[in-house]
Amino acid sequence: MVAPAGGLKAGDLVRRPPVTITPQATLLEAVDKLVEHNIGALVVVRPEEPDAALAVISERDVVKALNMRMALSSPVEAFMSPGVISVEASEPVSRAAELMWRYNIRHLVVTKGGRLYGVISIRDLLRPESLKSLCRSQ
Amino acid sequence: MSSVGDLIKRGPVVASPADPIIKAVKLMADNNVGSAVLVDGSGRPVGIVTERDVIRGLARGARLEDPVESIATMGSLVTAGVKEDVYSALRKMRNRGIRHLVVVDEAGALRGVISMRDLLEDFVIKRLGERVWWPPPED
Repeated sequence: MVAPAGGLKAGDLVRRPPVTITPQATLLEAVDKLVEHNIGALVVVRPEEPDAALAVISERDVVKALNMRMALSSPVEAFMSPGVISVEASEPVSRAAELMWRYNIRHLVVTKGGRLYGVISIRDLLRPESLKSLCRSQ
Repeated sequence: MSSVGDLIKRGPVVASPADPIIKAVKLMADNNVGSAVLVDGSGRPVGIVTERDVIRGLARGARLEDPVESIATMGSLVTAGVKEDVYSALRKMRNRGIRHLVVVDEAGALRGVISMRDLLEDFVIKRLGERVWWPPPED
């Protein structure tokens, strides 16, 4: 990846379309989807509005649901973290790092024009190209 | 401040390999951390279990009553020394595709765990960035 002038933008770190799930899907379906895609978080969307992020469910949300002894048949909406912390694709990676740090989260929804575009993780921010942009911005 | 030991915020969250998975789940949830270190009778680290291990285990049909060692990474732990540079720790995580490193002191005793999140702190990013621009010779 070649860093554009002014450093990488949050959108530059998005490498694939977001993996989504509906609020009515079950905890077990969420588990299967996380494993199938080998990722740490899913974006919750309604089927009729697939590019509007309602929430994110992360591995931590699943672990907390298990700790509460929720059944694997419970719907996603029963344990998803409400609200979405997001960053626009055109914002600098330093903004993404700041949000993850401040909100103590590992995944950030990236939007383009306010619509769901992708998800970035801490791992993406710690790649050499990202670190170069982060370091330069300090 | 740029060594691994500076990033340890708390004592390690530990469980025994024979404990049920639900105990590790409770430890992680109650402490708001993503992993628990599995220790033997004398407190030596022998494995690690992460949130991802729990989720993979469930997908395979593991039950919360099963011993945690059935889903954990046992043996050949990837560790970092307390005096190790943070950039070296990041390289270990990247090379192994892992998010947590067990931190040990010079005697090999368990001191804590660091995660990728710990590397996001400003002073760490600064150090990591310097190392990416001016990598040490072994790179």
